[in-house]
Amino acid sequence: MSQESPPVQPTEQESPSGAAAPYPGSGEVRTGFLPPAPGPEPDPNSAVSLRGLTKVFGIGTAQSKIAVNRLSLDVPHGAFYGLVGRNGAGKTTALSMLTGLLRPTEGRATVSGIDVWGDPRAAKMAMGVLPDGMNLFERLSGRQLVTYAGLLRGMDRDTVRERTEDLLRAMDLTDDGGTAVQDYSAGMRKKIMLAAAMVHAPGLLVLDEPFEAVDPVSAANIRELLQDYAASGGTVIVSSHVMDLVQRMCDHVAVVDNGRLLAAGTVEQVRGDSSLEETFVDLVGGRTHVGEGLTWLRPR
Amino acid sequence: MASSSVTSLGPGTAPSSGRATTPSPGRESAHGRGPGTLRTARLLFGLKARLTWAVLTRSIAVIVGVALGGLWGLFMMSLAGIALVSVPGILPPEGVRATAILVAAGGTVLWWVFAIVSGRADATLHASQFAVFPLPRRGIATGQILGALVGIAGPLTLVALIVHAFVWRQDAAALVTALLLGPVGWFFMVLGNRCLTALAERISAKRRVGDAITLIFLVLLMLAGPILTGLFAGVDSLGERLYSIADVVAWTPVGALWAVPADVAAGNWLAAAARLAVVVLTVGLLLWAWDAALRRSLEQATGAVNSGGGRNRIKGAGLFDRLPAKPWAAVTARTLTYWLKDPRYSGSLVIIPVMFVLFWFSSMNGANLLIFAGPFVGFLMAYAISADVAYDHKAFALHLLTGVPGWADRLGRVIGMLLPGVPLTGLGVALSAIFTDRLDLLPALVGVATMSLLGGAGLSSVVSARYTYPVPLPGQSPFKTPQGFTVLNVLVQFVVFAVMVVMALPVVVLLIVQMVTGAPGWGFAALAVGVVLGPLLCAGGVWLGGKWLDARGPELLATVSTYR
Repeated sequence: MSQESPPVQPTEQESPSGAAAPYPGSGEVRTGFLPPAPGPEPDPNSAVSLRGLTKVFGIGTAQSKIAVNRLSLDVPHGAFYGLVGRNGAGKTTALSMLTGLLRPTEGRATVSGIDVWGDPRAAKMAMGVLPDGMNLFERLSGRQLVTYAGLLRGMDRDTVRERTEDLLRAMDLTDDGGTAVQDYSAGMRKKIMLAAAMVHAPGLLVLDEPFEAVDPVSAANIRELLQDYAASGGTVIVSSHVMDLVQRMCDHVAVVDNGRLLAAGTVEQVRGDSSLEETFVDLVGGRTHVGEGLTWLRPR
Repeated sequence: MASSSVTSLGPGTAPSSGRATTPSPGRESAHGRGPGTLRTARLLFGLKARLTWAVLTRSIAVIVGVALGGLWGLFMMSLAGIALVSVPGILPPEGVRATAILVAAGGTVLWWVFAIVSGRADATLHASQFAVFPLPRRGIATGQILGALVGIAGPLTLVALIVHAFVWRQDAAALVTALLLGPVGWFFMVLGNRCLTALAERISAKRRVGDAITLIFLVLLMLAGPILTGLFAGVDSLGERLYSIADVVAWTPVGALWAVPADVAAGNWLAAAARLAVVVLTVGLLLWAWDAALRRSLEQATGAVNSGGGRNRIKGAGLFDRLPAKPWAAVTARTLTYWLKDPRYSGSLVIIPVMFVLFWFSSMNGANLLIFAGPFVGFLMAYAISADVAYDHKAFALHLLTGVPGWADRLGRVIGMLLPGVPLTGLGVALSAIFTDRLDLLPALVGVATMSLLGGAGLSSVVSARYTYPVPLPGQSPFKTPQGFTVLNVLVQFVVFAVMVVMALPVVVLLIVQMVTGAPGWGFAALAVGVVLGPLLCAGGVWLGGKWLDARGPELLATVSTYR
């Protein structure tokens, strides 16, 4: 389902010391716009505050890999925050640690001042999450799945029922609400997961690749819905590798590569005069020159 | 993972792949041609060989298992071989003929029927996997047949057929015929298997039908023992009937080939020719059906079948509307839905009554055992949820994300199991008391059953919160052998079983004392202990399992996510 690295097996190659140079010939990480170095303590006034968040897989073994490397970031309330990076850059791993799915090796994450790993239940009530690379209870219908997500959070039946119908309508899934999720297409799955993430009206939405495989009409509807939500004070974190989408939709953006934060700030601050895509490619590197590429790839 | 789902490909995909798989002869396309029939067959053969090798050498544990299993299999085959070869010394010629026909026909049926199940369990070399490659259909078919040679069952069957030929050792003509027909028979078995696999692939794309077939087969497989024992219980008295059965089977597609050596020995050339004609006709029919199924597999490789959405619709929120609006009750509603709809769970609901019947069969002679069949049902139900989180697989992430308290997760699952579990166990207890005519043991039996069911549920709640083992994943057939079993996994299963038995032991002892002494007081003691200790253990298990779940939920998710 996902091209992103699952939380257990990062694909990125990196030495355990974390000192590996991401670009051949240069020992230093090239960074873009970054806010002044934050203090050691998480900021309780931010919607999300990460401090030194680190995940090392296979610690102490030969295949030890640093998936996320001392990530510190503050997301203000009401922000529509884009998290961009290449496949395997550590986006999903970082978001999993923020949402309580994956215990960090080191570092802290808070949501509105609540420590995610100190008081997980309170933190989880404050956020709605669309995880990537996770499955659904596929034998349930779409309507049952959203209802389940609401009831698991201890909501009362009438509210759950009302909101479930509203969400199905918003996601254009009313007609398919009674169909088992296993008969859904990839885009429909994303949408029903999104609905399940929103049913308890959280203050923060963490959405990992929410638009993957979603049709343009639904995507536009969802985008509008999220923008209204952010305008009313809700905070959205969206991970994506579609730069155009992030540039159009988000007001803030963070660039992650090899588990490190390369740039963060408002979209204008990060991209400067060029487009976000150009800035990103420039920061991350790794473009092969087209001319030297696959010379045999021509129609005969 | 998403293989059962409808994969959305562009509308142009299906026709274009269909065209690519059948390159029109003579017209060389600008893009060159795909490999020919022979090369395709060779490719598939090599692929199957590598797959088999990979399966056998996945890990040291698997290698050890394969070696031990291989030795055991060799031992069993030698036993069967000795039995077969000694048949001519024991039975009259008609008996030899009947044995030869029935054994080989049974093997053929096994090969063919197994296709329907394995088609869901093992998709190795399924034609639809090659739909995007320009491979000729004949090459794929040849490759699939040859691939069976380097599988696991294929070579074993070939050896078995050679051994089987020596049933005719008293008649040189029959023996030579049987040896010559051995490879033909092997081809016949594999051909039928591949043909039915291809057909089953189409049929089981309709989920409900596939699930139903799987369950029916599972029950038949489990009851095969008693049915066969029943059939062969009095071979002497059944002897005459067996001969006539063999005569009939000898004219069916699955049995005709195996009767030819006898005809040759008797010089009955007309019968031999007629039987061979039956075989040739069957082969033709199989080839034709297979070709059609292959074409459909290649042209509709996405498996997109109209699953009848209108019929399977769930009104409202189903069970979620009927149970209280509490997190634990939501978990119950979800697990109960799974008990009814997921063959991995509903399979247990079907199998457990069958186990009861099996228990009954095996204790027909020593009637005292049957009394334990009732509590045994409770035992199995409790054991069924000992890998519940592994069954959820990655969907368990929803429980973590919603922050549902550990105890609510545990309690919900236990109640979801008890809702079908209590009536089933109750029925089992009542039936075993009635059939053995020991209603006086009822109180003690209720005690033992409560202890097995509730105490077992408590243990399962603790175990599944921490120690898991690989299970068939969501959407997979319950037959699928999960990959990556470790020694620890096996140990966990063994320990769970052992601890469950030990927990029930005090109550069982009281029951046995009552059976020996006949004093009803012991029975009421068993009832009291079971009814008090069972719920206590259950509550303790829910509490401790919940605590563990709260503490180590993310690690548990990471563990079950690695199962594939």
